[in-house]
Amino acid sequence: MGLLQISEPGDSPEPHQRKLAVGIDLGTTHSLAATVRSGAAEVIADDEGRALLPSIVRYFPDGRVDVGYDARAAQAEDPANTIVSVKRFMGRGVADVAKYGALPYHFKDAPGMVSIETAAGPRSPVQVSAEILKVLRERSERALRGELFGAVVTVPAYFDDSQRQATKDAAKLAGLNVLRLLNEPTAAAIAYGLDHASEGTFAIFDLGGGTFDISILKLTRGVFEVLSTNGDSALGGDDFDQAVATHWRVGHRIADAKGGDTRRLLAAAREVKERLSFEEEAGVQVTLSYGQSLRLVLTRSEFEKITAGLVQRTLAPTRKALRDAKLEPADIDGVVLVGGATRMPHLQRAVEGHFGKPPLKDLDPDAVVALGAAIQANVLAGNRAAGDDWLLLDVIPLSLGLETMGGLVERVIPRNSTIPVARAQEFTTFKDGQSAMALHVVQGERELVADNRSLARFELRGIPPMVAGAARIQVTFQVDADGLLSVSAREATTGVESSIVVKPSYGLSDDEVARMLQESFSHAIEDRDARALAEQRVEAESLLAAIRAALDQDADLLGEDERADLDRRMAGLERAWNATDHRAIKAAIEALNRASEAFATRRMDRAVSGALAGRRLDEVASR
Amino acid sequence: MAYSEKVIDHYENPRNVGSFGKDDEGVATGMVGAPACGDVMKLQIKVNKDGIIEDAKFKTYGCGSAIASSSLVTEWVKGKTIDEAATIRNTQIAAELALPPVKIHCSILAEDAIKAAIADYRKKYGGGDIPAESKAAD
Amino acid sequence: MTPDFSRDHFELLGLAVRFAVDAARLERGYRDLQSQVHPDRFAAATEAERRVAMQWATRANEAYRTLRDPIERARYLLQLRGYDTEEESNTSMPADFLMQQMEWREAVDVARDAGDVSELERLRGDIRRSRDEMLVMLERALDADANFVAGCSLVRKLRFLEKLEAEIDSALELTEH
Ligand SMILES: Nc1ncnc2c1ncn2[C@@H]1O[C@H](COP(=O)(O)OP(=O)(O)O)[C@@H](O)[C@H]1O
Ligand code: FES
Ligand SMILES: [Mg+2]
Repeated sequence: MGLLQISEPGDSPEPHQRKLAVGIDLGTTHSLAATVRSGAAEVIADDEGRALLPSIVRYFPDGRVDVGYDARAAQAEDPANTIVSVKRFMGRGVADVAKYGALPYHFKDAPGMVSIETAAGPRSPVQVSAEILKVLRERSERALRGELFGAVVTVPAYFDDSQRQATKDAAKLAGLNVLRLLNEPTAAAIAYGLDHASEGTFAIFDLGGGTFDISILKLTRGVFEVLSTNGDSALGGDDFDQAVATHWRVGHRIADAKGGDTRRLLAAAREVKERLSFEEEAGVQVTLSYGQSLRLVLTRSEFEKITAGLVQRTLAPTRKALRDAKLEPADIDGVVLVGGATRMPHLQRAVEGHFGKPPLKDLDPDAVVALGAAIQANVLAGNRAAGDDWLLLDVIPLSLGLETMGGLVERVIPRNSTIPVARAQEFTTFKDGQSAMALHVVQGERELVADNRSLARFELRGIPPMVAGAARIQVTFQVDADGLLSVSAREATTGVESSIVVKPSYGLSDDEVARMLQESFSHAIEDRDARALAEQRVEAESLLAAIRAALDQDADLLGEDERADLDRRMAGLERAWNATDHRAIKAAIEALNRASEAFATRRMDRAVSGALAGRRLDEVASR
Repeated sequence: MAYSEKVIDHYENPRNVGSFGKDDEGVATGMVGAPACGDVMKLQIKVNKDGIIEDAKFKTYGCGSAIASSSLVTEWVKGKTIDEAATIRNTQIAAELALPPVKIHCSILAEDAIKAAIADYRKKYGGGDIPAESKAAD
Repeated sequence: MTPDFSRDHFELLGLAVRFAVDAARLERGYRDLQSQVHPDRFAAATEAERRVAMQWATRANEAYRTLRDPIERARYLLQLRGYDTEEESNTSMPADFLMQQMEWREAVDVARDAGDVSELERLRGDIRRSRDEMLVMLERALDADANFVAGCSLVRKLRFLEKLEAEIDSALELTEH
């Protein structure tokens, strides 16, 4: 891995002013954290020098958890309590996880997403993921010697809204301030593009343990513009393991293996699969629970035959991504391989065949996503150095829409729209005097509601009585820079408003997250309060600092009264800071935020006007 | 269930698909297109000497609702006079097929197609109910 | 308080209000604006500033999306001039134009059923040529002649060609499997 030199050390803010920020790749198989130190991105290793953390969590009856290598070692011995590839269950219901075939867990259909019965009680995939993130947070704080200001957490580009929301909830639960959810291929492109100073159009092909992403990006003069993305959030190296295990099960007549034996077979399949990337033939000895000992062998050509269909499955999304970007394979300047599963030779051949050029693989496919996320985290935290002003423009992977009569989808925001994006759609009532209207938000590309993912249902109430067709109900979809959706609805003739952040149907409600957060803190109330106080104080400090900096620049934008009001709120927050009631600080923060809204708006208007005026001057000068 | 059964039936077994010779006796053609979706529809009527539409045919390049709408309209107009046929409204089509609101423009296309065919007929054969030429030939 | 969104898309991206745009300047204008307002610039700022940044970046994306696509740009420009393109309601197109559409659609169906890739690609070539000719006419109507009624009719026509291209794309997609 080359050094990702992104700034001269001298340009960076003084070390003590730097905010500690990390990038975290929360993978199906492995997770890891990285950070930018002295201008270069590097991975953060554990005490034994290992950067990768197996994404495996084991629960014990006393509530204790093992995360990582220890948990991995126990997967065959304690399969029901050792959760592997939990990323596949994020934001998913029982019907979804059934598609993965026999798994050694006891799933329970909870209202939001599945829940797994463990020795320590039911656990949501969000909680399981939070355990992994917590280990990485603690590791980072030890390595960087301080509390983290924030983190960029990566998600597969093809994750839908519920999967993204679940990931963000997990990060919050792990005590992380999420600066941004970043798409994994985009993160890889940042690391690759900055490292190689590349320009041109690139395809990032990312096949991990459980997900497949393909993104097409244009890299020009400091701008990373995602043109399109596609993928399959249920296709990865795990499926190759399943195919091999099934092959053996049939060949050796292993009757319905379950629990530990399933795990043993899958682990053996994975080992053989990984070795076949470098060897022509590989075999392992496996002892099953009822004492039978087997030698399981596979040649590379057999492996390629039984998994050819899986390799083919990556090509349809690849074609779609190219088509959406309005490009031909020959227009791609380079194909970057990311993810452990792209080490398979037949996969590399398929990619090369499709694009007509050998893929680029000089990056460590295991680390590149975390490194890119670290670079982005560093910039978002405000540690941007002079000359370090690249811009990232990403897209949403799947269209968003509403159910209309007859079970059809009315598309509101098409896939591959650059984010943030907002669109409004107008609807009307179809009955006289209708006072409420149900809205059903869905995500996907299919025509029928039933074939898409249901994100949320909500109701706009209090529509004043009117004749059918007279009401004008504007439904606005807003997707933020994390790719997360919020929906608001407004009756235009009367101004009745209703707004939700899309969560309920396939996610956790805010209350549930709050409750889990409470539970995850130490049980002592004093501890909980102390932690909340510390957090609120940090937030108060950064808010005050930001407003003081803004006043230094643009105080003239405020009228006398407005300035006095702002000063009063700032003084109020300082007073609250000195007291010890975290709730009072929180209230003062909110009050100051509200009081600064008009100021923020005017400052931005000034910045935009300045940019437009500057452009006009440039043009005059260049004539 | 997404589409109503009637839509599916007319979509899967569309009635009266095809065309007459453009210059055949008593034949008039209406051609329309919906810019909103880029779909096109051709609807032809064949009027006998008593001014009754004795046959109708259509060709639609469009969605299921548009195909169902035009199929339904060709069924409806048979046996009607020109003036009766001219009263068909898209709302009747939409109601009969239980079309969802996003598919209303597809039924508008069918209404406009029959209107256009009638206008063509009147242009060719005059405003009367009976083809002028057939009258002369009598 | 909402941000000042009174400027039109052209002004916001530093362009004259014309149909003909210089793609490089459009892109530059968009990037300059995004580099001022994008939420990534404000991730560590106050909540109020983060919200305003999101609104502005949304606005910048909307302007760029609209001006980058010729049909969208023409529709927007016509709207600024007070003309409605009536794409939802106006179904009467010239007979020869509709005839040509019927023929093309039929040819696409036949080629799709036969799995004839080269025929599909030939059709796509024809349709793109026709589209390019119409775009030239559109530029003349909007920028030289100020004939906005003709502009509206051309926008409606272009929608049919857009659909044809989409049909050909999905036919080609089918032949891949
Ligand atoms: N040498 C190899 N040959 C084939 N597959 C490999 C090899 N090394 C790792 N893998 C596979 O890559 C997948 C994990 O990739 P990774 O990028 O770590 O995934 P994730 O980001 O989803 O955690 C696993 O399925 C693993 O078996
Ligand atoms: S969508 Fe075009 S006619 Fe129905
Ligand atoms: Mg990965």
